[in-house]
This record gives sequence, C-alpha cells and structure tokens, in this order.
Amino acid sequence: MMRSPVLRGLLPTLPLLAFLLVFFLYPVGQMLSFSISPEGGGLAHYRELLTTPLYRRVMWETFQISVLVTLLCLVLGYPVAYTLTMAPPRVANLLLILVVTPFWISILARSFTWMILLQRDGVVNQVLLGLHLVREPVSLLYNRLGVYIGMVHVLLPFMILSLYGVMRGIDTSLLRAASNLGATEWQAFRRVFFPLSLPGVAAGCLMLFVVGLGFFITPALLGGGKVTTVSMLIEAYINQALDWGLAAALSFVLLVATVLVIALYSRAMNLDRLFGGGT
Amino acid sequence: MDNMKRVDRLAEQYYLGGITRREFVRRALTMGVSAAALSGAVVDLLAGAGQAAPPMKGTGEVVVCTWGGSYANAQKTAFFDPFEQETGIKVRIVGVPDVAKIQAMVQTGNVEWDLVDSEGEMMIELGRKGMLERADYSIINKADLIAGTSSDWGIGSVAYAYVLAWNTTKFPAGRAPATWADFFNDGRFPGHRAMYNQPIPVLEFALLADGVSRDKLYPLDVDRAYKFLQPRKAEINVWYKDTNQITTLMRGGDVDLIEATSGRVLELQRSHSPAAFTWNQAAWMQSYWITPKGAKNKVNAMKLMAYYARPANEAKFVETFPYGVPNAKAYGLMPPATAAMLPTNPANVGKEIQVNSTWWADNGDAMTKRWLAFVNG
Repeated sequence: MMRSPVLRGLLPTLPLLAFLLVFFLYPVGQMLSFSISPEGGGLAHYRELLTTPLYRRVMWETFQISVLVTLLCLVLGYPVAYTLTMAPPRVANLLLILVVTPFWISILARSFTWMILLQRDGVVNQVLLGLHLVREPVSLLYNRLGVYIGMVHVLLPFMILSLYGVMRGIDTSLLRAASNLGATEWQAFRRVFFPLSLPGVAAGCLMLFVVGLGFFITPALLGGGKVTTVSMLIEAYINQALDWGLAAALSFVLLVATVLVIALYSRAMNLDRLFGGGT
Repeated sequence: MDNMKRVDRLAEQYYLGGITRREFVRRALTMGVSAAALSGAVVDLLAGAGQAAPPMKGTGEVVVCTWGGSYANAQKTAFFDPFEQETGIKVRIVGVPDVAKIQAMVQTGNVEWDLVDSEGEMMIELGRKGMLERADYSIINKADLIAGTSSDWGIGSVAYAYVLAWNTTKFPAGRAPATWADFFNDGRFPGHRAMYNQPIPVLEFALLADGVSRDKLYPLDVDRAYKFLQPRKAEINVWYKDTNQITTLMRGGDVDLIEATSGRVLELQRSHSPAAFTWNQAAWMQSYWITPKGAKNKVNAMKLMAYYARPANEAKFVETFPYGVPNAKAYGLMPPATAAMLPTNPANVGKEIQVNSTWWADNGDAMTKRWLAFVNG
C-alpha cells in the first residue's frame, strides 16, 4: 500500500536503492566483518589503529592534502567557471571541451607525464633555470608539492563543472539590475553573483574533499614514497602485507571519518538551504 | 676460434634434434677439429645428452603457465617450439602464475596447469603444503645446474637481480660507488637516492653495508638492518613503487644512485643514458618451474623441464631475453657480452648474494608490516 505521498515519491528511486544495496551496502558490510578479528574481543585491529602513531599521522596527512587540494581547485576553478558562464555560448562550448579533455586520458598516463615534466632535468626546471629564476633545479616531485600538482590537475575539472552547473542557472538580469541601481561591477559580483554561486562552491568542495581522501595512484607515484595517504596504506596491507583485517578496519575508519566530516560540513554550511531544499 | 663457434653451433643443432649424433661427430671431424680438441663444453654437452637420451618422445600435451608478453614469446621460440618438434608433445601456453589458483586447483582435484613458472617464495609456500610434485631428476640432468637454481620441486626458470646503479655523469669511472656501504654514504657520494619500496632485498643491502659478510647474511638480523636504515632514511629521496619508475627516475636526473633491476639499467644503457651498475653485492632472485600436485600431464611436464635444462636452448633464450638461466654450460655457448649481462653467470655469481626465498617465505608477512611502518612512519 503506497498511500503516503513520500513513499510514492520514493518509488522511482527503487532501482538505484537496490543497486546501492547490492553493490555498496553489502560490500561495506562484508568489509566490516573482515575488520572484526577473532581475538581481542573482535576489536584488535581497531585497537592497533588507535595505538599506533603511524595511522593517526597518515590519517592527518591525508586530511591535510585533501583540504589543501580542494581549496587550490576552488581558487583556480572559480574564475574559469565564471568565464565559462559569461562567455558567448560558442566560446563557452569550446572552453568546456578543453576543461573535460583530461578525462579522456588515463590517470596513470597523466601521472607519468607529470613525472617527466617536473623531474630535475624536466621542462619546468629547464625553463626556470633558463629564465634565471632559480640557480639549481627545484624539487617539484617526490614530495607534497608534486602530489598537490598532480591531484589538482586531476580534480580541477570536477570543481569547474560543479561550479559551472550552478552559475549557469544564475539569472544574469539580476546583475544588470544591480548595475542599474548603481552597483559597480565588483559590487554586483560580490553582493549578487557570488552569494548565488555558493551552492556550487559548497557542492564542489564537498565532492573534491571526499574524492581527494581516497586518492591513491597520483600520490603513490608523484609522492615517491615520501607522502602516504590512507588509501595507499590500505592497498599495501591488502597486496603486500596480506593483512585484510587491518586493511578493512582502516577502510572503515576512513569511511566513518568521511561521513562525520560530511555531517559537520553540511551543518556548518547549511547545505539543505544552499541546495534549495528543506524549506 | 671460428671453428669452435661452428662446432658449438653444430652442437646446438644436434641438441635441438636437427642432426643425429653420428652426423654431428662426422661433421665436427670434417671441420678439422680432432675429437680430442673438441672444447670441454662440447664434450660435456655430449655427455649430458647421452645421459638425457632416455625417451623424450611423447604424446598429448603439456600446459605451461607463464608470465606472458615478450617473456613468454622468447620462451616459446627458444624452448617450447623446438620441444614440440623433438618430442611430438604439444605445448599450450596460458597465463598467469597465481598461488591462490594453484591451491584451488589442487584442492578441488582439477589441476589445469602442468608446468608453472613460479617465484621462489610461491614454490616454497606450495611445496611445504604438499601441493607440488617432486621433480624427476632421473630424466632432468641437474649436474650442470648452478648452485641454488634447483630444488626438490623443480629447476630454475629465470633469475633476475637487484643491483647498485648510478649516473655516470655524476660518478664517472674511478669515482663510482662499488658497495652498498658506498650507496649509503652521502658524505663520499653526495646525490639523490632511490630504493624499491619493499623490504626484499633492502634489508640484505643494509646488512651488507653495515659490514655483515655475504655468507653470514641469513637468517637476517632484522633489528640490526633497521638500526642501520633508520638514521639514513632521510637520505633516500624516493621509495619507488613500480620498477617501471627506474628508467624514468634515472633519465630525468631525479636520482644519481639507485637500487635497480639489472635489466632496467641495461635498458638505460641501450638508450644511451649515462648509467652503470655493478654485480658486486647484487642480490639475485631465482624463479622455478614447478608442477602442481596431480597435474594431468606430469610426465610431459618433467620432459619439458629436462628439455629446458639443456644449455643450448638457454643460450638461445638469453639472446632475446637477458635473464639468468640455470645451466652453467649455457654461458659458454653465448657471446661473452651477453653472458656479462646475466646475474647467474658463474663469473658474476661469486660477487653476488642469492635472496633466500625460504627465509622470506617464513618471515615475509611480519617483515612487510614492519617495513610499512618504517617507510611511512
């Protein structure tokens, strides 16, 4: 009996819910069961995670990287999305193609390309040396900097697209109205356009932060073993140490931490209001 | 010299079944080589062949599981195709070796692979569980196999090595590092360094650098190795994750000293990158042919192993794929320049260590965890 309009409203989402149940909830449950160990009251793996400084350090490092990459993408992506919105449609389409082109190149190929560009004898260093901006080759790789560059490159299109999606919906006549009422271009942007674009900012930041937490190949290759993210550690425990229990526990902690951050973030940013729901 | 080469080629032909023994002796003699002057190698070849002469002819097929790519192609040309011709046994090549799959096959009694190209640790693990057939050394001639290249379960397939390599622009001849103690000595050899992000055989190298002698390496004094590595960890600029990175790291000038596989350094040299390496204190790792318990074509698998052990086949194989081969006599049948590139060349083996797969099979899991804590800590 589907009397309630809420339930009836949910009906079209059933296939998706079923999909998530089979391909998301079930594996997550499986993973959770892996992480429970027979000895130590079932929580030995979790105790190990809490008592070993390594895991806390790696967790913190992952968090820092993800936040910084998200902010960098926002700063770099916002002007691009703005330009896309304001450009005539023909130009905008062309620019959009440029933005999404990197999606067609494998992440592994892109990482190796960055290695070649950023290495000590690489193009970037040769240009810097040629312009006498530096006296010795700069270490752009195999450290945090290399990881930031690689991750920003991979994630930037996601940020631009999520900003552009919201900005395109902003009624530009509002800006004209603002200038009719005497606002400078900057004032119109700051007081009218920017607040209206905030849902895109919120959504983009949230998506990038969450995706960034799970990053693996780029930091593994560009970090040169000097940068460790949680997912790299999980991979090492699965493939090298063959300790699936600990890997599962680590995955679960990452999952819970991510959900927690999303919850806090959505409260602080009042996501419901930003997305126009809940009213 | 030329004559000897011709005789060697003749011997090879004979080995591959192209000519009969009688024909071989007749033609060798007409070349003006007296029977007494036949090189030691050739005489031994004959002796070996005499021993291995028991019926190689057979029927049916043998399913070989190997690693694919250019490697499997080289194996096919040098071993599998001529084996088919000589014996009439069909060789079916499949991929890729997987310890879990072999376990499942043996446990369910449905063994699809007859001969598997296995890493050392994999063999030890399976052998201890009683999941492998014993090698039949009544048909496999192991007299000429290099020490460490045969086991209860099979003979060596290929060997590869981790070596100390460096950029020759930065460290030209005369000022080049020669030992792992040099590698870890940033004072005398200032530069950027890279090592493979796994404990095998970095722990061995650390102990060698710390003064442990080659013959007293195992069982590894793990605490001592980490005590040596910990203060030097910051001097390692890159812990690379994938051996594909070796060439990238060296070409880009990112590192000056590196723990590399010998094959990758040779690749660099072929592309005229300024790189050199030493066999001194290198660590070679042996892979083996194994036969899972209950293999359907066990007899054929043993025959193929016996065939693989012949030096002439191996000498042909390394021309396309420069990895170590188990028969010591093979190294006399190949150009010296090729032999010099191979880790199990008897001339190189004396300077190297062989990674002890048994020790790593026993301690590997604990070692990996400690390693992860060390590198990421």
